[in-house]
Amino acid sequence: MKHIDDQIREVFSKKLSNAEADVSPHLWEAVQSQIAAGSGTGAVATVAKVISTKLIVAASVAVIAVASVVYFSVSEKSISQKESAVQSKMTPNPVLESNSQTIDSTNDPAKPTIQNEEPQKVQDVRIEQSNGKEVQSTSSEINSSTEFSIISEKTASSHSNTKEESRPAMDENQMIKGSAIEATNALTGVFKVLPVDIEEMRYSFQSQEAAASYEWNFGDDTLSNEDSPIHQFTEEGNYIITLTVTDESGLKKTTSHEMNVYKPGKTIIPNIFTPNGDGSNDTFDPSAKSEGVTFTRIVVQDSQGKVVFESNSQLPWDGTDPSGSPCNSGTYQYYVSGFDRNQEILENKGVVTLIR
Amino acid sequence: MTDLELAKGCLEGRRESQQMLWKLYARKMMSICLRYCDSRDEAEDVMQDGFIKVFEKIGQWQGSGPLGGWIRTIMVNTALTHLRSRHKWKNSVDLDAAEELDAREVDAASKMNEQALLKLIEKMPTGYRTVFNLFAIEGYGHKDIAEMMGVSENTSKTQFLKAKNWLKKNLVITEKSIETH
Repeated sequence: MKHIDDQIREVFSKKLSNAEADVSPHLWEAVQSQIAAGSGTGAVATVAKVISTKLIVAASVAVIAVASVVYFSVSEKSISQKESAVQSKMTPNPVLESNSQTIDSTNDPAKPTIQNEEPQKVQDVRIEQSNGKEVQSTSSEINSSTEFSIISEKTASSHSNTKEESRPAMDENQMIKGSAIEATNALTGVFKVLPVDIEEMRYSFQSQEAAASYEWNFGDDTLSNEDSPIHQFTEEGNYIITLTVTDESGLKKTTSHEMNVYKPGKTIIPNIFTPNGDGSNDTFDPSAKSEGVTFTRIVVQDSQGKVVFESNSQLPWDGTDPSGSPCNSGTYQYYVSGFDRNQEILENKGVVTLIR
Repeated sequence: MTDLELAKGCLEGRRESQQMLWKLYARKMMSICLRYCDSRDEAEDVMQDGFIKVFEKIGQWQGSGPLGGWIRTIMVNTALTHLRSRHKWKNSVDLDAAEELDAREVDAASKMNEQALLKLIEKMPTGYRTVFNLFAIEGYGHKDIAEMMGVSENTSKTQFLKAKNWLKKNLVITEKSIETH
């Protein structure tokens, strides 16, 4: 009996403890919008946590108010949430005071002691982000609209984020630098994009609301009228996806999002090189044969573990140590990492043989 | 970039470090969330909460173990907190008399691919799936699990037995369905 338990452990943990699963592209934006950035103070724990209605409904939760000993009962919370939604009339996704965070009540192995100072900062930002939204919200609507409201808010915020941070290269792979083109009615035009098979450039496009009709334009001269079509692109590139939704009364709402469609990159690293100046394989160059990858880190160690080459670019290693003297023939360990064109991180490590 | 540099960047609130950490760990953590939750929606909620916690508390990572392990602990814990809120763990002792899972079936499991196995676990009823996850995959002992879930040690063991019985039934079905393809 003991024996079989161990076997189960062995099989299942080996197979599943490092398993991976596809992550919806919108999730990062949801997280990002709720964590502090660039404060430089080190006190990262300044978060105005938005608690979704879903969570509230399910919240016969053990909620412990944080350090500051403020405790909202579940009912109070729902009320304040509704109020804030009604008052603001900006977003169906209300903002709660930051000291009402939900925390593990017990047994956090990471032994949290929550820092919760500076509660104001991020909250302000969020309200600002919500400005200009035309989504009407009354308390009765909250339940039904929460699902997509989260995403619609993201749509707005990601737009401003990309500009402010001027880091387009690091922007989320498939989501969503969109902006509402017109706002004529209660439809939001919000949609999600989920990869189905990145290798095949096949994606699922999911409208987040019930409309009378849907009109998709995938930016490659193909159209669809399904509510949630799956579309396969035939060429890599950057596409603008446009969705027009129409309600029963004929009012339309159009949203556009830009997305990058690239096959995942491949790292193909040489396992041998000969720095003898004959013009052939003179350097250890991870980028030479790799596909669609930009390397941002190359580290090479000798067999004693001493770092002989280190670079934050993809400049190849010429087989010399940091002082410039040639390294001996032998095997060296390398670690390389970089991004592919979807901004996915690729890593690789292995052994390369240097022959003089 | 080392774990330490990454954590430091996140602590300083640098967006690129935060994003890098996400890129490195999101897919693994998503798979954990899916294993503990009943639906993708729920798993995404947990994932979001978990990562927010990670970024809030990253200053508390001691650097003694790998960062990935620390993130994982937080994620599992967030999932448990979430489950606790909507699932009452019962201190149950009743157990149907059923045969034990045997080596042949474990062997069948070992031949399944990762995704199929993941799907199988996701189908397991929440009650004992949680114990199964904690015991068989995360590697906690029944004593730890009992503490984490607020149930007795005996319950943890019983739930694990149930999980094995469930697996026995469902592994066979999966085997058959593979054969008929």
